[in-house]
Order: sequence, then C-alpha cells, then structure tokens
Amino acid sequence: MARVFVVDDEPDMVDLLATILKSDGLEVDTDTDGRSALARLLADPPDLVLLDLMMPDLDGMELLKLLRLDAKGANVPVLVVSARSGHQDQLGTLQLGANAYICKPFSPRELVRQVRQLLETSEVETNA
Amino acid sequence: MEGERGSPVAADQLEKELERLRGGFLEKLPARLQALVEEWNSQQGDGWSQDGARALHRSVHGLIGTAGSLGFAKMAKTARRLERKLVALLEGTQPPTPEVSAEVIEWFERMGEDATSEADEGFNLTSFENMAEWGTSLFEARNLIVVVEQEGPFASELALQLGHFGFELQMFKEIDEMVSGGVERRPAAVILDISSPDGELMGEEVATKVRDTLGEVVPLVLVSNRSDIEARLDAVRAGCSSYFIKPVNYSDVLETLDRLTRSEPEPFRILIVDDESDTADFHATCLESAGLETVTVTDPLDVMSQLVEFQPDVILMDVYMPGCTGLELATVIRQEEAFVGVPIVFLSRETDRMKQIAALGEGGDDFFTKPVAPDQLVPAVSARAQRGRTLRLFMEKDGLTGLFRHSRIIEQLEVAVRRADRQHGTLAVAMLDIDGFKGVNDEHGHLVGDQVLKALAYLLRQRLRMSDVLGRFGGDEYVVVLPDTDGSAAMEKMDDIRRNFAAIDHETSQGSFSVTLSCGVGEYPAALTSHELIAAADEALYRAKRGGRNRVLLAGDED
Repeated sequence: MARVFVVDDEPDMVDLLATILKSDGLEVDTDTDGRSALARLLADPPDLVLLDLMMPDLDGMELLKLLRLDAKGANVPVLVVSARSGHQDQLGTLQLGANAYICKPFSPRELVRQVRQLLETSEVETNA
Repeated sequence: MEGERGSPVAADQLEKELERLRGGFLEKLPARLQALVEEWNSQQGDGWSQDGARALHRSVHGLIGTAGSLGFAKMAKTARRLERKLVALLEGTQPPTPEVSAEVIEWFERMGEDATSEADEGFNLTSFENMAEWGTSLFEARNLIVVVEQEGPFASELALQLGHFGFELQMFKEIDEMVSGGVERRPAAVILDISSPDGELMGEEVATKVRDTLGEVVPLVLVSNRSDIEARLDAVRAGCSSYFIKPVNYSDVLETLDRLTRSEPEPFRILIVDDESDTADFHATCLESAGLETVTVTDPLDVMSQLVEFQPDVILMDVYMPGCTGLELATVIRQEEAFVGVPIVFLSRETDRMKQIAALGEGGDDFFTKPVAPDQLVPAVSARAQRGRTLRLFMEKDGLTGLFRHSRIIEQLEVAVRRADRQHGTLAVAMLDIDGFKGVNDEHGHLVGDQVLKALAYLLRQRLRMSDVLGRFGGDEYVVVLPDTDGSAAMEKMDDIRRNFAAIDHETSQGSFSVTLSCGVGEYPAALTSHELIAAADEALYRAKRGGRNRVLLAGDED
C-alpha cells in the first residue's frame, strides 16, 4: 500500500487530508511541525509528501529545499497544498522541485486524482 | 498519528467522517478565535512587532484553507479579507490605529458568526466539490470591462473609445448597484472612479466589495483626482493593478487593459526525439502532467519537419539513435538559422564525462543522464524553455507594438500555408497601411505617431482570434495571417477593423484627430505560396490606396 506523509501546521487540515486519503485506501503519516516532519521524512521516505507552505518555524518552501538537498529526499514526489493561489507561488515551488500544486480550498475528488497521478508516475519511474 | 492504516471506505462513510471533522472544527473555533483576539490585543501599542503580526497572519492564513476546505465558505471569505488587512499592516512600519485595531477584532468575531450560520446548512460531498470553486464561479468574458463611476462623462466617453477596440462596457453609477447583481459574467477588469467629494479614501472598502462579488482574481483599475502618496498607497493596499489620475489619457487606459486582458502565456512546447518509444512516452507523460506540451519523434529524420510545424521551445534528444546520432542531428539543426536559438538537451545513459562534453560542443545546451527523475526533468526543461522564449521574444517581437517582426511573420505564414495545403483548407493574408501616416508624424510629432501605431496593434489584438498571426512589417505597414478563413470572410473582418480604426480619437495636447487605413487581402489557394500571398495582398493594398484610401480590397477583384 502506498504511504503518504501529510505536513500541515493546522491539525484540522491534517485530519481532513488524512481522512480523504485513507478513504481512498492509502496509508497516512502526519506531522504538524516542519522540523520533526523533515527528520521523519529523511529517516523513512514515504511514497508521496503533501506539504503546506505557510508554517511557523520551518515553512514549506524551506522544508522542500532541505528535502531536495538530501539524497534520500531528492526523489520523493511532493504535492504542495496551499491557500496561496498566486502564479508566482506555484511557479516558485515547482522550481524548488515540487511535483504538483493544489490550492486550498480543494475538492476531495481533485485531491485524490492528483495524489493517484503522482503515485503512478513515481511507480513508473522506479520500475523503469 | 503515525502509520495509521486506512482501508477503502464507501462514499457515505467519507461523508460521515467529513461531517465529524466539521463538527470538531466548529467546536474548537470559539476558543481559537478568542486566543487570536487576545494575541492581537497583546500586540497593540508598545507590544506591536512585525514578528508577532506575521505569526498572526499565518494563523489567519491557515484558517482560510481549513475553513474553505471544510465547507465554511463564508467564513473563509471573511478570513481572506482579514488576511489582506494584516498583509497591509505588515507592509507598513507603524502599529495599527485604535480604529483599525477594533476593526480587526470585529473581523474575528464575524468569522465565528459566519461559521455558526453555515454549520446549520446541510452538507454533503457534492457541496464539498462546489466549495473549491468559490470566487471563480462566474464565467469569464475576456472583452467585458465593468466601469463604476458616480458622475461625469468619463465612463461614457471611455465606453465609446473602448468600444472601437472590441471591448464591451458595463456601467454602474454606484458600487452597490454592481454588488446587488447585474454582472453575469466575470469581467476582464473593473475600472473604479469613485473618489468621494470630500476626498476621503475608500479604495479598500470598494475593492473588497468588488472582490466579494466578482471573485479574487479580477484586476482593478482605480481612477482618482488625487495624486498624493496616501491615495496611491490606499490603492496598492486595496490590491489595485493600476492607478490613473484625472484627466485620464485614453491610450494609457487602453494600454493597461490590453496588458490585463492578454491571455495567459502558452504552455512550453517540448520536442522529444528518442528511438525508444517507451522512454519517449515516459518523458512525455512527465512533462505533460506538469502542463507542458510535447510532440514525440522516434525517427530522427522527421525532426526537421516537426521543428517547423510544432515550433518547440526545447528539444529533448537521445544521443544514440539508429541512422543518425543525436550529435549529428544537433549539428544539422544548428545549420538552420531559424533554429539556432532553440535549446537542445541531450539525454543518454552515457556517464562518460568526456563524451558529454563532446556533445555540448556539437551545439547541445545541457546533458542529462538517464534515467532522469520527473522532478528534475520538469524544472530543468521549463527553465531552459523560459530562457529560450524570453530570448526569442526580443528577437521576434517588435518593441513598440509587441507584434511579430518581418522575418518571423513570413515563417509563421509558411507554417500556415503548409497546414492549409495538407488539410485542403482556406487561408487569407491581409496587408494594412495607415493612410497619410507621414502627415501624422510631421504634424503631431513621433510620439503621437507611435501612439497611433500602438492603437492599431491593440485593435488587431482585440478584434482578431488567438489563432490569427499579427505582425508589423515595418513603418506603418501591418500583416495579418488568418488561418481557416476565405477571402470574403477576411474582407468582412478587415472592413470591420477599418471602420473601427477610423472612429478612434487619437488624443494630443492640441485636441484629437482620427486617421484611416487601407487594406489588401490575398487568399489561398488563389495564391499558393507565402510569397504569392504577400504579393497578392500587396497588389490589392496598392489598388486600395490608388482608389482613394480608407477601403479594403481583395486580390484579383476589379476596383
């Protein structure tokens, strides 16, 4: 079963994301703190990371940079889930190495579609 | 919360789960808002710090996403307004005044009330789907401009002028009139002329009303009597895209609207050359899922025709292919002057650094070792495509009008001819020339002349389709390529443009004047090549000029 790691400082948002992903049959890990999330992500890389941008202390952009710096995190697919909807933000995260971007508020169906697509792509890549 | 395992559940089960989350959110909300209010209060006066305000902003930002995603749309909107207020405060250096401070607290209270009122409304998965669309639910009309103006002839004069360029104007006397309905499509921009008689600033209040009615993304243009910094700052904080001081120069407004309504840039086009179709497909999928367009060629010998047809921003090429290696192909591509600027990225399992360097010597711009991870491929390819495109823009576009230059329009015409040829379709080419343009320059000076040249470019862009290709041939001569259009349809279109151009008032410090244009149209297959088409259009243009100007003629027709 594919394992998805959700990082968001809003506990309610974490619950919502986890509920939707689990209802689609995925295994879910969560963290509401950027620093501890990064440590856990590098210790045991999941199949996909859902990442919030605006978080206290270590924000999503920084976390993404740090994740990509490390060989273990360099290839983990990252889906950014953010309430920032500007093109610049989207482009910025993609340039930092995020694989896709979804805006809050999002629809559960769209979220699942994007997650499935990213998981499939990375599967193809690993098997190639 | 670590490693929880989920099993697939039915949709109604998910609905129940979501309802439970909504309940939980609502239950904790009063305490959360209370904490935020206390935090805010503690920061007033001497307690004010940018860091504190930033933390508060983050919390409010978080609430927008959560509330919206859990179906509390009204509350999310209120939070979004508060966020805008906080961002404005963060940009300043002064602590907020007691009035602003009280207002912020009101917003917090309002969020609580919104959520409570929304909690009672029934909720299911479908409403969740709808939730993601708030703010953009109106169908967008690219040529619609909404004008709100309390008094004066500005709007009606503007409507008249913009009307010639194909803009449609909807006018309101009061902002509340617009709010209470009447706007059925999302406009491309909103022009606000609402400065109050006593000079009070109200940009922010009004902008908020507009956003609530039309969505977050509509560009706002503010027209004002005031030229002071305070008034400008007010507009910036209200999120306006543009600010004009009266009396307004219409060509400036036009330039702004032209910029605001120009469509999104096209996606990057990537040509993939790889003899292994599986690898090619994989790269195509990666790039396409990131929104790029791709065409795959598995036979290296097809590359040249695709270069012309598809006009890629980047070529992604395998080094080892049967028949012709990537290095040889790169050399061939670089021999064509038109493709010297297209970045070539080599892909190979080659890890030998020396061989990679040799590849770069043959005209490659970069070298990736296979397999390439999608998250490296997409940004790397996008970045090169962007750079290539910016460079090309300078080379291809005319600086004054933003239309294609001479050499480029001929290339585009050749592509259109080939397509018409293959599809047994139609194609028309129009050449336009401004009547007596030299006189305009002599009488009013070059700046006014440039304004006239730009006006024709805006008009063409507004009136013609995305698929039409527009170019400035030099001087006051323009060329338009109209695919899938026969001679008589092209005549009709160009005559419409001729009439509208003649109606435009060009402003100068000594009053305004108008000018006309003449136009000749050539059509395919009466003329078969790009050369013949241009010659046919040119011949018709010459007859139009000789026949008294201000007219459109078709090649081959009698006068």
